[in-house]
Amino acid sequence: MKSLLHVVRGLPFILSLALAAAVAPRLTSSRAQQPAGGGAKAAEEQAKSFSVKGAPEALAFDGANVWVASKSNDTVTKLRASDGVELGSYEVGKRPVALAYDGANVWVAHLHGNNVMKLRATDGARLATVAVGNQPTGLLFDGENVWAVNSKSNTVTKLRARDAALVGTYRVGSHPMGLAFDGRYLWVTNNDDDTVSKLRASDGELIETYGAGDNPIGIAFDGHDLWIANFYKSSVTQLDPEDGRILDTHRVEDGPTGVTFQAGHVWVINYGAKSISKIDIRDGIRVTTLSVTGKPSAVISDGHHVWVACSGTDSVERLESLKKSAAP
Amino acid sequence: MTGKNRRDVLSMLGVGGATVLAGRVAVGASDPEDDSRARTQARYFPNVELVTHEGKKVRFYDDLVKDKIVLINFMYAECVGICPGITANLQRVQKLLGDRVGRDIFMYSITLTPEKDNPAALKHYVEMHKIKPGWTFLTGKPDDIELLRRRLGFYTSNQKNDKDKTNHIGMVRYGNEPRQWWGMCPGQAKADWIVESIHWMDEPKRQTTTTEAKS
Amino acid sequence: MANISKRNRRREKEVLDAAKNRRELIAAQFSRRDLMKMGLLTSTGMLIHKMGLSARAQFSDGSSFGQPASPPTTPFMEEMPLPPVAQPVTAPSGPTPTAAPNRTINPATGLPFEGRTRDHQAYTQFAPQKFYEVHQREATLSVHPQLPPQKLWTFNGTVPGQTYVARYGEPILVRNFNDLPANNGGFGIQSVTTHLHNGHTPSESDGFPTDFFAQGQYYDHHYPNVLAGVNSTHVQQGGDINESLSTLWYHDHRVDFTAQNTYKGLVGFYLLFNQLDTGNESTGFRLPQYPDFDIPMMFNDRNFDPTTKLLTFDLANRDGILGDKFLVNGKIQPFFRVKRRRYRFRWLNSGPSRFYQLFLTNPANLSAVNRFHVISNDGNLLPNPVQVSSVMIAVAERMDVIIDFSAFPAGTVLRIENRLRQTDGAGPSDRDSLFSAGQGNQILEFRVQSDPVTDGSVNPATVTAAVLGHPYFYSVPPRQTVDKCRQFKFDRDNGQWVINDKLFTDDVRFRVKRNTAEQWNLEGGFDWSHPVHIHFEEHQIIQRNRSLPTAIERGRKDVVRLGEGDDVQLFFRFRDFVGRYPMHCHNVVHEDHAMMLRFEIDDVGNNNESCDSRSR
Repeated sequence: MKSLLHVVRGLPFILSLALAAAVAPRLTSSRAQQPAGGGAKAAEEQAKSFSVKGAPEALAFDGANVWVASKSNDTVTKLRASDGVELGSYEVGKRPVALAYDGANVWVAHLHGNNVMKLRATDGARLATVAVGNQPTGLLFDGENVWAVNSKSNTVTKLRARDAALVGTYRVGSHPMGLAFDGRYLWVTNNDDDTVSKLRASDGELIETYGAGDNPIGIAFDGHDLWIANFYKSSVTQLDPEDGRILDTHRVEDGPTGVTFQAGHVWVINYGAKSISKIDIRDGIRVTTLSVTGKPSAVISDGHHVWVACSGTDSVERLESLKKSAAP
Repeated sequence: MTGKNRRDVLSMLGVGGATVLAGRVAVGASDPEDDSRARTQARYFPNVELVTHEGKKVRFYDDLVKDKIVLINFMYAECVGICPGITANLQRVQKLLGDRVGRDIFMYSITLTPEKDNPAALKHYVEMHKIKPGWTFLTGKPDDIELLRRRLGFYTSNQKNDKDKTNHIGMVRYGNEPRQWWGMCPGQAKADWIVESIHWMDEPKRQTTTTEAKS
Repeated sequence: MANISKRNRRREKEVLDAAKNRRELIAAQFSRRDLMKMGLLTSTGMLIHKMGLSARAQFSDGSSFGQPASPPTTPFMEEMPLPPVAQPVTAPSGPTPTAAPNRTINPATGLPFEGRTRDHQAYTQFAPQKFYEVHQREATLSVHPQLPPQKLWTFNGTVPGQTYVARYGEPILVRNFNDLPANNGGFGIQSVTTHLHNGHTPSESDGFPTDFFAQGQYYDHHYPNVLAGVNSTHVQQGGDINESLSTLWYHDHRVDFTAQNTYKGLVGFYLLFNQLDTGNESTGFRLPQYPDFDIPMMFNDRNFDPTTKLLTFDLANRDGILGDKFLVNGKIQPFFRVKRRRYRFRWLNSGPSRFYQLFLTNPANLSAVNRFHVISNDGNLLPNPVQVSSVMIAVAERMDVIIDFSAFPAGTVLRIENRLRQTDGAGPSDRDSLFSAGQGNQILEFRVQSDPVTDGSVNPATVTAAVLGHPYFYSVPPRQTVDKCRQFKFDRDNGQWVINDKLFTDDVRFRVKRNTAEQWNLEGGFDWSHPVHIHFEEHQIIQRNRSLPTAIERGRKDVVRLGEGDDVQLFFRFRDFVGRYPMHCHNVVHEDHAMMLRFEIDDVGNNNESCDSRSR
């Protein structure tokens, strides 16, 4: 297989799965909308690499730009998605590990700051800083509120996006790490419990807890199903959000952490194996793998491309199909 | 089975001596009061029946480990992750060890997927990788393989984390059975480092540092 | 597929797990009766779901397939012993020590007399004033009256080995003989290298992991007992007094076998005094009098075979071994009689893997908070004493504490209790998870005596900086602009322990230029904890997780705890001596599985593992 991502050894902090990826508000297309006969193979993608300093390990997309959080210099960087040009760089709090976009602002969660910061997307101005629980690892925008998952407090915090007001704090399982939203319910992976918690987003009520996967970390919703990355199991669990039924388990490679959804495929970054797995969700069987030489630490989709942060190489990689990139 | 092996081992403990026989390494001065070797065997080296890639039935302890310096790792034929690199690396190790492999140093690779890797599949693997004689690939009953995996330390103590067996295939166990020296080294380490680890299992000339030559 | 409700799903999972567990246990050759005895099998034959049991109670290493519980022992039956103090000899046995290694072949072994391969680099400058001789040999020792005598590996016949009492300005030479027996009794290797943790020791005497020597050989360790800076930043002063060390220890460091060899007993104390930390409570810092009221305590946890009742080491464990028997100075759960006054205890966790959070518990009054003062971390006196209600000690860390028993009436019983819940050898699963008072591991019982006693030692409660206007002990040496920044991530990769994605081999990973300052950024991976030890120079923790470290960590250290996702920035000066040193995880099971690297101090240096150039 062709080596597609030219990345050297990476040192990302694994919690930084850019769980913001699970939101991707525009990416709720269902599988019915996908064109038939995709059958993409790994070799159909190549990567375009953009340099971002300070060990990037979280990503978000604001409709036009990709935001990148860098852990070692505590900054977020705004890249124009069309060409990767850097439009701004903003100092934030202690160890940014997750990002979310609410339609106007970019939210940053700080692992060591135990807080969340709201930046105006146009100019990076700081609008608010709000304390959350201990060691937040994920952020999500549900259309009205921003949710933070607090890995060491076993809670999620709900903040009103408009004014950053605290709406509530809700208990979930042990060592929660990842967030997804299915339009009505918030889903939280509980890493120590091997479960996912389902909370009603409107009032934070815990509806149900389902057994799911092994050491789940990243989670994404594809419009129908939930996809959960099982760190120690080298697999992704496909879960029915209606009843928590496990629909299928898909083999990926060592240490999957982050999941996103685009163009009829679920994309999984395998931190341990230094690879990216692409699952065709129509049959769920075809899994293709792209090898990278560094450890991938975050993945999102901008609707056209999949973006991967590689902290060890100070780079962000944009996967592009060969057909498109072949055109000048 | 266990009782018989135990007697064998105990009777063997009386042998002692310091000569290297073909296929055997010396048993150090032995203490008739000390049954640690039998206990080590009972705990770590179950005498399960395995089948080699050449279709020969063998007993794990009696035929493969007892009285030998060994190198053991786990793999599976379909593994595309780190296995090919480790196999290639261990081929370099085999080459560096030269004709001692198969004589007094023995290399074993045990499949993690015995249900798929029958002797023929392993033979195919050996031929495909052009692996030289003296290095044996092994399969067996899934329960026996699982027992070996755990006894030999190719697992993680965290029950949850252990579910993916293939996460634990990076290490190589090396040892000298009669001396009860058992260590582990990374299968991806440089071949000459693995060879050095094997040499430590020799006596006693290798029990001194060789670092100086490298620095 | 039928929709199984949560409860049914869980129940179903339990049944499946129970069946699986039972198969495992039977495979492990436990008989049904053994299982009943262990409390795992109910009378109806249904195996109790293991997750519902205390992992410690059944599998002391927290595994599903590891170490069965040790035989029961009655706590506090024996008095805690003190290891004997090493006595100098006029001249060590064998050929006269020389700066060059004695590579003459010993006809008795066919090997060179000495295992050392490099010249002592500072032998002339710091000529030894005292000579010691130590023999590593097997000894049969009692660890508890209810267990049979144990064959352990020792330094001169005891575990812990003899305590060296050294003084700054008084260089010594230790001739270290390998007289270990032919039969290891199941684990351990008879080739050894002894590390003095964390002496300012020239590389050739440091006990580097591959500088091991064979049975029948000796190795001359030259310990200059000099302060850092002696040949560089503080030549006039004879080194920087603010780099003084006090509580050191020595232990075997044989590559791939450190866990086995230290577990078997190759550990001991090395105490270093100077003109301020004098050992005399009427002079200098006026710390409690050595040896009467200045007491080394070595904590370790061990497993004993339930059948043979002999010390057992789990060769198959790669994540970290947790013992279910707690020893202090070689005895399981001893007691120690104390007088109603202040004591200095030098607490050391010698491993293999457990983290401790030590409290002083009064079993007659569990709600009482019994505070004490931490005065030293990793053998480095803090600027000022820090009052605490508990202290965490990772493997290889040392905490010197002052406990004042004068407040307790004669007859009071106080216990050193570890309240940190840890079920996985890889690290505590949740730092906040503590046992309630009295429910933790009872390690040692203090029995307060009625003897009349005087106390000339300083009261740590009265010597805060606010009172004095300056540190009572040493100042933290000022930091300078660093010449290099390096970055290290401690992580797990395909079941292997790695630093920056690499496993230990004996290759030099990077070179540090002598007499320069560096910043090292260490980052923890996911789900594991690593007490990371860097040989030779003390470091200062600049920041931990972007914040100033706690008061106890705001001094100098040689072990830094790296929890899940932790970021620490360390400041170093590398001075005076050159040669190879390692950095490694001191969970010795991780260390033996290649979580280690070799660096070299020389007069050139290089840029490897740099913070800037990530392309390695």
